Amino acid sequence: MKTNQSILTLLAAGLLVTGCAKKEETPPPPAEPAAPAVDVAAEEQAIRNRSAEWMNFANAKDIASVIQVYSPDAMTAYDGNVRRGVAEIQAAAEKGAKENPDSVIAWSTTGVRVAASGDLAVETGNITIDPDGEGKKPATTGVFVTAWEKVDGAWRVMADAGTENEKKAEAAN
Amino acid sequence: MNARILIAALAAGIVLAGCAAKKDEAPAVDLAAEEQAIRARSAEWLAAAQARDVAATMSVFAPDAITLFDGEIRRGAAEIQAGMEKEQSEAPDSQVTWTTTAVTVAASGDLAWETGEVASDSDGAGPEPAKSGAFSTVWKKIDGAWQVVADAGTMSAPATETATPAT
Repeated sequence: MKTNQSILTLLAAGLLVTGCAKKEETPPPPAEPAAPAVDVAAEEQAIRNRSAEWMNFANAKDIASVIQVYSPDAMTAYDGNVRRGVAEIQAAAEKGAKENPDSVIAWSTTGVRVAASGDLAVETGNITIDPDGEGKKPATTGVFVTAWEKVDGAWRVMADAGTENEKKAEAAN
Repeated sequence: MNARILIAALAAGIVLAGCAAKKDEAPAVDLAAEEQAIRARSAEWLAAAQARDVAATMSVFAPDAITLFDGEIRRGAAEIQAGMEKEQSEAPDSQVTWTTTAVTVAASGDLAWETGEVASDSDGAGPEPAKSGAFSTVWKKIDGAWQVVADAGTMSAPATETATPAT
């Protein structure tokens, strides 16, 4: 009996080795691709939706909601203004809302790339800013690039950078 | 006979469990290695820019890359290259340097984000002051190589002594 068990044990070990090896050597069958772990299209739509919410918060001057869009260590870089961390971003948003209470901002997303793992994405788009809404000051247009990271199941902005068309930065002296 | 069936079933179980374990153990992406690859590529890019090697610099960018810096918007490799050549022609003594402060790589290893500090001097040792700023760069792995799909930032202040580009 011990001999039989030993033979079967060796057979089992052989199966383990050859079974795994053969699986690696066999070319994959031309079957339908496996279901993706991440629904990239759904993640892209989630980012577009979050970006639209963000714009609504900005126009409503709802700073608390705007700030919720950012990661705590997010950075923004626009035409001579660099903000590092959510505290600086919030202070600048409050200052902007106070100085330009009638400002209107609009942006449209032109592209979103989502990592296959669904935890990192980049959004690009066009932006228009009118500093006084119906007032005399002209609106300006520009382009932005926003890097998003999924944190605790929610998409948040890690970096938001861009520039107005043909505007040269004014150094902060 | 029952013992043989039991052992055979056990053997089959070992085969399945062993193969499954082997599949699970294989790491999908070495994130630390990918981060290091991006830092190394960024350093190569800086060296190419400082050497005014446009061809080498352009090899960093994806064909549909976009760059956004202080009023200059360039879409696609052709516009980026034309802008670079124009800058080199207009500012032959310009200097640039940058340091990477963070890199975040997607778990799938196909998209990454780099941020850092940048300093530039439009005329090197000339009278124009150096400036410093920040950048945000998005990298995508294309055909096994990391390439820039978006590079944006701004110069926000006079450069500090440590950030001033070497002349």
